[in-house]
Amino acid sequence: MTPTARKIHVLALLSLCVASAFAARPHTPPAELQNAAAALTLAEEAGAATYAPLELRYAGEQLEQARQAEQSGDLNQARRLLEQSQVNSDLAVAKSRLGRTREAVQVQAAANAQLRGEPGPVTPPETP
Amino acid sequence: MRRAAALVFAALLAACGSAPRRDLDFDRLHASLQALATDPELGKLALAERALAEAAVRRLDASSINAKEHAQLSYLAERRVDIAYIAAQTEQEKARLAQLQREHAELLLAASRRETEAVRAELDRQRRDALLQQEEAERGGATPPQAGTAAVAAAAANSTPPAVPAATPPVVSLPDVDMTQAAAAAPAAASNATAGRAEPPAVDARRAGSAAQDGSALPATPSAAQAGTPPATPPATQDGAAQPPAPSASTSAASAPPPAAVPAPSATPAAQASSAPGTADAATAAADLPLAQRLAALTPDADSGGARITLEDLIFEPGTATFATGAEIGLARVAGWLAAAPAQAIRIEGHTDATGSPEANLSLSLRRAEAVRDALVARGVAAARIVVSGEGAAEPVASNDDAQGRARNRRVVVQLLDGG
Repeated sequence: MTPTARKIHVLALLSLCVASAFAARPHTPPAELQNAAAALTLAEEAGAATYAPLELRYAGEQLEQARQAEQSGDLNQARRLLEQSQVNSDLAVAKSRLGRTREAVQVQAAANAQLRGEPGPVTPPETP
Repeated sequence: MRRAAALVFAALLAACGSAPRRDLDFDRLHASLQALATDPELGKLALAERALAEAAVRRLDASSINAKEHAQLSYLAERRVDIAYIAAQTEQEKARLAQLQREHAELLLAASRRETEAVRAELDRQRRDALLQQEEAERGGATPPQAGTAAVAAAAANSTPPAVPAATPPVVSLPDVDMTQAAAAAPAAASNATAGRAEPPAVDARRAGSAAQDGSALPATPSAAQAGTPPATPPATQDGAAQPPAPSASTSAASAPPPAAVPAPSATPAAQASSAPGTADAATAAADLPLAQRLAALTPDADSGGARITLEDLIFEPGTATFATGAEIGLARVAGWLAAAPAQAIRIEGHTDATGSPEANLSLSLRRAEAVRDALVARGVAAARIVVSGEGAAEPVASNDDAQGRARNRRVVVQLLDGG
């Protein structure tokens, strides 16, 4: 092995080490951001503005803060905020589905009571 | 020195071997998940969401990195547990909704069945009403109203020549009818006699009506005829015109014994003179005058099997075997006729028209024949003499295509059997 070749090997090794160090560094890939944004859109479409407004607001704020943190270079904070936004969007979707189902149950129960000739049940919807 | 170092090392080991630090968040979330898993209603629902929650709680348990990371994992795990609960409740509500929808379908089906039954009952009722109205209409066709009767009577009066100067005896001696409605026929015959017309009581209703009008064709009322006064009013206004000239006659008719007490066929002129003024009032008072006249004028017909009297269906309420008002006149005449031949057997046949089902017609004809039998037995006819049958629509005497023919087909025939 010539000295030139040894230098090339050392440089390659150093480059690999540097690349590994960069790879180990926490970062926020665009996929996570897109997932959180898609979850927020899904929550809005599910009617979270009506059934889970608090969770929806949290998810929106956290997504925005994650973008700001990414732009400011705080990638760890951005990742955490994206996870929180995602889970809040999921919670908003679940609450919206439950609320809609309970409303359908109430409507159906009232229709059945009307068919039976009874006064419809007046039960306020439960909040989980 | 070595001992001191060994003691410190032992103390450190003891400190490390003590109970581990409790993670309260983990314990709380883990217990919550356990409660969800053991819930009898929610435990088997939303398994995917529960698995995600359990994974998040396990990550929390494994996190011993730092407080910030722990708080983050706790935040996520707590929401995952909430999502698992909510998803389970959603599935429970969906199952309830499906149950309610099934109940709704069953209720709709039951309501539809009830509605169908109601509509069917309403249709049946309307069909019965239509049949009754049709029968009533046929009655109307069989018995024209008074004005029509008067018109026919006037025509009959004009066309009937005064053939016999004195009243002839009836073909068959019929018993007296002690019914008030019989006054309709008796004065009619009486007025005939006074008018010099020979009209036996065996005329039909129109002829009887014409006989009543017969007197009015010359004078306005029978009393006017007796007095020889000219006619004052047209026949159509006979009801109103009959009262002014004889106001006391109506009261006397009301207080006098029943006009039927006077034998119709053998009415004497004197009796006619006393009963004739009441005739107009009786005619105006009786709403069923044509039926009463016809029944009062019932006569037997000769037949190959024996003499018979045909009772028309108008003596019954429509569609029933219940006697109508005034039917007693005809029944009394039939009973009297049968009493004149106590040794002969009697056959009573019920007949209907072809409308309706054969079974219903058979049943109705038999019930009507039995009703006539019962009425005759109540009037003294021996029940052992009577044979009853319901023929339904099997023996029509006229076409069933028109109302007139159907009205003739609905009848009860009382026959005296020759061999009896």
